[in-house]
Amino acid sequence: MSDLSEKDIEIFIEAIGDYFKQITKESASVGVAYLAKNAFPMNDYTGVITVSADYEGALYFSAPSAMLRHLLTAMKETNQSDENLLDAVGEIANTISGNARKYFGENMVISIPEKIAYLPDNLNELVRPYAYVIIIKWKHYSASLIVDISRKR
Amino acid sequence: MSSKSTLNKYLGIIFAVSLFLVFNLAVLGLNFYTSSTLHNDAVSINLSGRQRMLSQRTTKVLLTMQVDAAQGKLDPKNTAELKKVSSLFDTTLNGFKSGGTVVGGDERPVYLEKVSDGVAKHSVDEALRIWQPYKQLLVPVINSTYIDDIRLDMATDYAREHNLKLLKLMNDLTTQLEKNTKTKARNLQLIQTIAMVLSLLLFANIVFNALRKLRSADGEIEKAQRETTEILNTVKEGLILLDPQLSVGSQFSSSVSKILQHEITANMPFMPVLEQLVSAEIYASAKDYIELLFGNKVKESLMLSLNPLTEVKVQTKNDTTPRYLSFQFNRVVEEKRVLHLLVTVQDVTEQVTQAEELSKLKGQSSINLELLKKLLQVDTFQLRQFLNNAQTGLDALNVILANADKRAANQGELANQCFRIIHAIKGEAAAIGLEAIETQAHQFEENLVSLRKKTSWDAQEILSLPVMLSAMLDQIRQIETIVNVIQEYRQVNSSAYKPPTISTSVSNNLKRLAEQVCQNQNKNVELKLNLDLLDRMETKTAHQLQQIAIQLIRNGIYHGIETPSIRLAKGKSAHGEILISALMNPEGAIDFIVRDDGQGIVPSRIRTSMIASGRYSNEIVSQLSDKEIVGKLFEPGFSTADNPDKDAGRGVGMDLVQSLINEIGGDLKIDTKADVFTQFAFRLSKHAKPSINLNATEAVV
Amino acid sequence: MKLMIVDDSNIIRSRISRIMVDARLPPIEIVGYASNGAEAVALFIATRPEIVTMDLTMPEMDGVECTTLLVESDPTARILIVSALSDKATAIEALKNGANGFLYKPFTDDELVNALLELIKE
Repeated sequence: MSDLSEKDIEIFIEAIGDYFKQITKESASVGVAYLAKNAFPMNDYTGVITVSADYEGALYFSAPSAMLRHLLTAMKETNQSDENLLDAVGEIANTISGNARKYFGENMVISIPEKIAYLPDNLNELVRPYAYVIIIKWKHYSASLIVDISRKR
Repeated sequence: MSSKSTLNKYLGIIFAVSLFLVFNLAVLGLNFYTSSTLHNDAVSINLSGRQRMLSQRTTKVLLTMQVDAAQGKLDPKNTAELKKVSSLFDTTLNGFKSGGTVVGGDERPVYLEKVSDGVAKHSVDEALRIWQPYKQLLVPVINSTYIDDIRLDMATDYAREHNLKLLKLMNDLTTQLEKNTKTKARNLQLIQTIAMVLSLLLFANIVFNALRKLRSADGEIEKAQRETTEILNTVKEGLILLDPQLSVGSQFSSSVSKILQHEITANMPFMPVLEQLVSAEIYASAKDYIELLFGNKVKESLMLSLNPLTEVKVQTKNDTTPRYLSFQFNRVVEEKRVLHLLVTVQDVTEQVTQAEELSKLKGQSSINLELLKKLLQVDTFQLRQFLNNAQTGLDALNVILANADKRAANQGELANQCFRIIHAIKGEAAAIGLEAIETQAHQFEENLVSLRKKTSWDAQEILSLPVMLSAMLDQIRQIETIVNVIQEYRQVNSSAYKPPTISTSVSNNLKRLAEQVCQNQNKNVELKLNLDLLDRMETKTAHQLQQIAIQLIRNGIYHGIETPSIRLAKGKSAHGEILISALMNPEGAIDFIVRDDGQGIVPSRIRTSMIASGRYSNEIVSQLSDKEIVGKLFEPGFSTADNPDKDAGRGVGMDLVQSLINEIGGDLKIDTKADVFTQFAFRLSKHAKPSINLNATEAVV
Repeated sequence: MKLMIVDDSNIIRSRISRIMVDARLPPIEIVGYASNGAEAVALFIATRPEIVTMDLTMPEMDGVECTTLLVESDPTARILIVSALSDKATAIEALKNGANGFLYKPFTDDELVNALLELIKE
């Protein structure tokens, strides 16, 4: 079994950095990275993409509402309703995983984003013994990227 | 090539050919002129020759008439002939004198040019001088209708007297004219010959130049063709030209057959070759892609980024291992139509597999037969304890990672904290012989060493820590599963199975470790252990003491114990001795002692090693006191080992010992004597502080 | 020129239309928004747009399938795929099924404007 390497995980990080850079001209960076199987650092809004085919598991992008509001403002979006904040977090999750397909290939099939407000910090049914938790910094905000993806063999 | 440059290229030839034509026209004109002149000359010569004949005919007729007259005869025919020849002679002679139309040899009028050169003129003038009286004498003879003896005799006498002279003059004229003509003809011939030669030269020049141009043009084409062939024969990349029918063009590089492992010939269809090489999915994408390329609707830049045939995995029946090929397609466009696709194929197996192996190495966690054997040998209780410890250590490491930014610890300190945990696991793994984990920990350490040197870490470096952590946790989890199975099996098969005591397992571990390190370092060491007291201690403390012993054994063998030959030279026994004991003193405190009979901790030697390592300057080293120098041993990252390996050199062992002592609590006393011994005596209690005695006479036990 | 925007994200739809307005692309007039493939097909038949921006990952009917149907209905329609899906096979499939261009998310305002100008230039 060949597990995800740091290069594999970095693909998602790059995609996030790229997303913020493209939209706001300010890239996002990695704060810390560790492993977890519970007590995930969930924020107000979470976008979830599940992967299938040669891969299994899911990717979570969880951001505080202030960060998303700031992002919408940068996009000149004045409607900052809950619905649009959820939409934004889902779109980021979608973009990250969509961009990662350039690297992982078409055999990482990705779902349409599921958008959840106030997701509890414990996830049931992890596919990995430990999921990767990467804290993403953008401006003074922190968002969480949780990678619970493994290759099927 | 534009028509303008074509014109330039041939300008020289066009000019030469024009010159040749003009020159030849001139020569032709000259020829016309020459032949017409020669024609005139021929007339003159002809007529001048006729004059000789006419002069003789005149004389002959006169003489005939005289003979007839003597016989009383007068033949009118003779009179008529005399008239004809004499008048012909007269007009011709006058013609020679001043030019004019005369009757030619064929009774037709021809124009006779007057003679121009001196000799001929003289002949004509002289002849005229003789001819004028002669002519006067002839007139009555011609006109007389009867026989006029007197006049006839007068004329005949004159003729007799002057005939030869006249003949000679006419002869001279002819000769002169002939001579003139010959000279003229010779001159003309010379001019013609020169013109001919010049013309030939010019022609030769044209031919030569044209040939040279053609040859050089041919040469260029040939050279270009030869170069193309050479290129196609030598390039490593496979090059193919595809036409819109997806057939291979007439030229392709010779390497292409080898790269594709398929005989490539001109005009063969390309797609079946590709179909055999790649997976059905990629083939389908590639087919669509190539069609889109020929369609020329989608921009080249977008198409380039969509190429599905980059680093594509192939395995033909000739390949023992899979290879990776990269195809590149470039449109050959003329007038917005894609005429061909230039296909470049490269074998990129090396690059791809290198990258793959590299990434494989890092996250590897595999259960192999070697590991299984080890697991069956090692006591499961002890294994379980190790796994628990390792798990606890790795969990702690994960907490350190998770809180890395909250505590605002610097990256170096973070790396050191991780290092201590990993180093402890590595030591224990080595002690119970779990080489797989030892190796993994060693790789983790190497990564930490490189990270320790950096002031800031990039995303990949930050991510490498949880990735390696995950790999170790994975390995531990797998071993745990196997241990469970083994334990279940043993419980079923022998209910009387009893775990060994802690002191036994620690002793076994330390012996195994010492053996291994000795083997690696080519040294002989006898390990003397007295650890029964461990059975009466808390398991955790016993374990911490084992970890201290592990580090000190490593150091003792690596730095303390000399090689057998050195030991013999020093008058010591060939094999060294390391004594480890846990003893209770009369006050009830526990002393944990590790003592070796090696070369001792000698500050001057440490100084030398510090300078030799290049990491410390002379100045810094000389400023430190002996105690400070020895104190350096406890600093993280300090090492005097030349080549870091699994046994030593990371500079973390003593740091780990220090932190373990801090955890347990107690005092560490180091006694050492150069070339005699080193002793670490740890008295377990609260508030530990190392005290160092560099000149002990005897160990305080 | 009539433009239809197809994307399941509300903020992307409003961002595309805002970029159109800000860039002052007068020949382009937005005639409708759809949030999935099925909606898009219905709206396309009703409004007959000449250009379409098309997301790929959408509920109900995905972008590639939708593109195929739109091009079948009107082969002259110009379709710009605007998607985060960055693998080659997906892009090739979309282009093969009649899409005219591809713009990867995330995109900047300029990138979208240039992609649309490129699309209507041909």
